[in-house]
Amino acid sequence: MSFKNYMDRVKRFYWYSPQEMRALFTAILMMSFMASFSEWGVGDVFNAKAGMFNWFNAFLIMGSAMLVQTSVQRFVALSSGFRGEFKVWYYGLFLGLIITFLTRGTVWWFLAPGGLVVYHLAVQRLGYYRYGLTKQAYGISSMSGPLANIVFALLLSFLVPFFPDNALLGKAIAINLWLGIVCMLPIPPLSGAHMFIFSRLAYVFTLGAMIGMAAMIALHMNLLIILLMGILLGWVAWFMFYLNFEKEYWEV
Amino acid sequence: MSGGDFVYEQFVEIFGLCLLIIGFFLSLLAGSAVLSYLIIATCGLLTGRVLYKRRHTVKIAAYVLITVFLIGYLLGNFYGSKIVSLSIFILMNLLSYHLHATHYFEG
Repeated sequence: MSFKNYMDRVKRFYWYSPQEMRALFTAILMMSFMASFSEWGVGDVFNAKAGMFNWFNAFLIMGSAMLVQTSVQRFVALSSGFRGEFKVWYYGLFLGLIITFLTRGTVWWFLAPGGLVVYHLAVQRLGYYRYGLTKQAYGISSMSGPLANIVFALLLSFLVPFFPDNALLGKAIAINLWLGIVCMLPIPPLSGAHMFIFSRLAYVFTLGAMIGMAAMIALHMNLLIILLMGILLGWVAWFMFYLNFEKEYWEV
Repeated sequence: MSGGDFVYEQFVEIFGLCLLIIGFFLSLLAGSAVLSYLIIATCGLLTGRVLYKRRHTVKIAAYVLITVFLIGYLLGNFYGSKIVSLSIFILMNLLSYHLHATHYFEG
């Protein structure tokens, strides 16, 4: 596919529908409330003004994180000949809210907004490849979103030395890391489930690598260590999963 | 009767018991009246969605399970008023059902 063809697809099929915008807005509103739940005052003293301000900040951060995730998923889906759409998971969002309330904001990071749904672009695929949705294209498109969140957090972490006392930057990194990892859980309709259905081994490698990279980003390591630890943990997870499950399963 | 048949025939009673216990501990772990009200409001929104999704099928099991959960929650509600909790639950349930019916939550 030529670059011109790809740009034409992006121009025509990238945009969010009004229903999707509404679903995204609701999901971002709920998740930002979860992320800012423990910041509604100082200590045990409730402060509505400070709370609203922190909620607004969290809303902007969560909005950017979701924009990165859904946009990258769409771009990758379009490159495979599919139109991506965000499908909200209200049960996951309500569950996250209840967990946040129960833990008084300590466990705010169960950010499960939903996942990707892809539609076939029949005309776009004419004469290029056989028709039909493939698990590979769906899995890789879904996985690209959470991975983009980890990369976004990595890019933000490069700004930390220039703004060492900026609490918002730390919050943005944490939100992107947690959003990326939680979305990779193999629970339908989260993105990880589609990758898991495509290939269990590829899923385990990706999840291991993402957790390794996220841990190193949170510990403020340099780029080389982040990448090496990501690949190392990915391979360890892959190998352990193969030895303990996949090998036996294949032999049956 | 095998275990599978028993679960198949008695699933409402089994899940009802589980939800009674979950509701009781959910309320007990809230720790304060405000959090208790927030949790029951979220549960109300959630059950409104469940009822809307099941509007064209048999609803009796959903009604029984929701009622049992609510009883468990109210039994463990030591931090706030039971009447207020019940009112919030019903209001949020109706609000959620209405928002679904007007297709706000479509997607």
